[in-house]
Amino acid sequence: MAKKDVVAQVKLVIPAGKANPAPPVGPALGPHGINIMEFCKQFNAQTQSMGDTLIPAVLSIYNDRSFTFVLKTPPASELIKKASGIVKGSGVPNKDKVGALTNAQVKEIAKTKLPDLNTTSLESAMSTIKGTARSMGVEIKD
Amino acid sequence: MGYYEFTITLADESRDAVMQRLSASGCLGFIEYEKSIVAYFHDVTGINNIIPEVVACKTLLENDGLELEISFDYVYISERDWNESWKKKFKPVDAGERFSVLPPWEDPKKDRINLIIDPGMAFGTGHHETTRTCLMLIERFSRNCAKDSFLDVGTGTGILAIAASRLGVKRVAGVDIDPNAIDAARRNAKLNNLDNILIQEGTAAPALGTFDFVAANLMSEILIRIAPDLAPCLEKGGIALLSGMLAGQEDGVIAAMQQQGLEFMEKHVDGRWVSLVMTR
Repeated sequence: MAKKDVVAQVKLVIPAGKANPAPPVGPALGPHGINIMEFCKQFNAQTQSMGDTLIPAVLSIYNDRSFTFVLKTPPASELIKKASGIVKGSGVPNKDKVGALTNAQVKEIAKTKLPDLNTTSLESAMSTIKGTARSMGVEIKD
Repeated sequence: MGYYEFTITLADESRDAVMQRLSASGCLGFIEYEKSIVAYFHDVTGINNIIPEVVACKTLLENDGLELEISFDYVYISERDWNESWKKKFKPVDAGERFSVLPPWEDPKKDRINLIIDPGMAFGTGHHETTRTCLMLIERFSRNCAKDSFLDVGTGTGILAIAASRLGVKRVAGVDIDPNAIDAARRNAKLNNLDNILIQEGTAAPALGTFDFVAANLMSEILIRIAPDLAPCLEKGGIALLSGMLAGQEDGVIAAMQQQGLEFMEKHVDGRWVSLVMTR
């Protein structure tokens, strides 16, 4: 059997369970000639129980137009929204605080995100999460 | 209808915050590149509403050392068939003992029941494991029962409804909540010269009447949600074919259907995908 080569990698970030052939999925995958509907069905079946969270998916596209994909952890901001119970970050995070997280919650989020961050240190991951939280108008409290 | 495609150049560490902000402002999703992200919005959101949101991302980053440099441009793109490139190479596929699924530009196969499908932007081309399993089971059960009426919930391209009609089922209906699917299913019914298929927008509902055979190739959570509306559509002694779930997701679907009075009959596994046969 001929060896399959990866000809492209595509990274999509889309709401869980809601992939459809419209943008961004259509324009991202259409030019590669892969079956968009098949990707949507697989992505939706795997992510349907994750609520409205944004989920990154990294697709490897092969020379026979087949594909595989892996799901990454949701963006830190999504996890922060969920943990702090807010729908949207603050438009003016310096002034308007819209929520708060405890250090324990920050630690949990950092643990979830650790596999996808450029660090193996939990402390450094927690600093990144705190930074993202503050940029959304979410305070860190103990 | 169309879309606005924004290309936003920004630092890696700022991506999460910007994507979160734009997502809360109606962004449909993103493609990530090395130095930029591409964000898509429906044109109904209005360009005068979108630009301030993108500009506001700068304010958002003014904190905690996140890189502030951000620039963007945008283009308008019209709705189109994004699957066109794949469709051009859509090859016929056999399913069950007698079905062949083929696009309109391929010659029908001799000695097969040809299902002509122009996929458009709808689910169901016969290439997916669940569609092939459904076709195989429709063929099998239509021999012994389920000959008079057939309902396809989430009909997509209409492929399962068309298959039932080609097997001689007299009253066939297909429903879908996606207008793209309704167009595709109606077009495909015509391509197959079938005039006994009612295609309509919506989901399973007792108002549709009862059927000998109800097929639903969806997702496990949707199957669970619609169980109270789907079960009453099934005649006593009829067949419910439930598909589209991944291995491990079937127990919840079985339980939801059992609560509505259906009985488990069979489970079929193809790769990672599971299809269930139940009865009333």
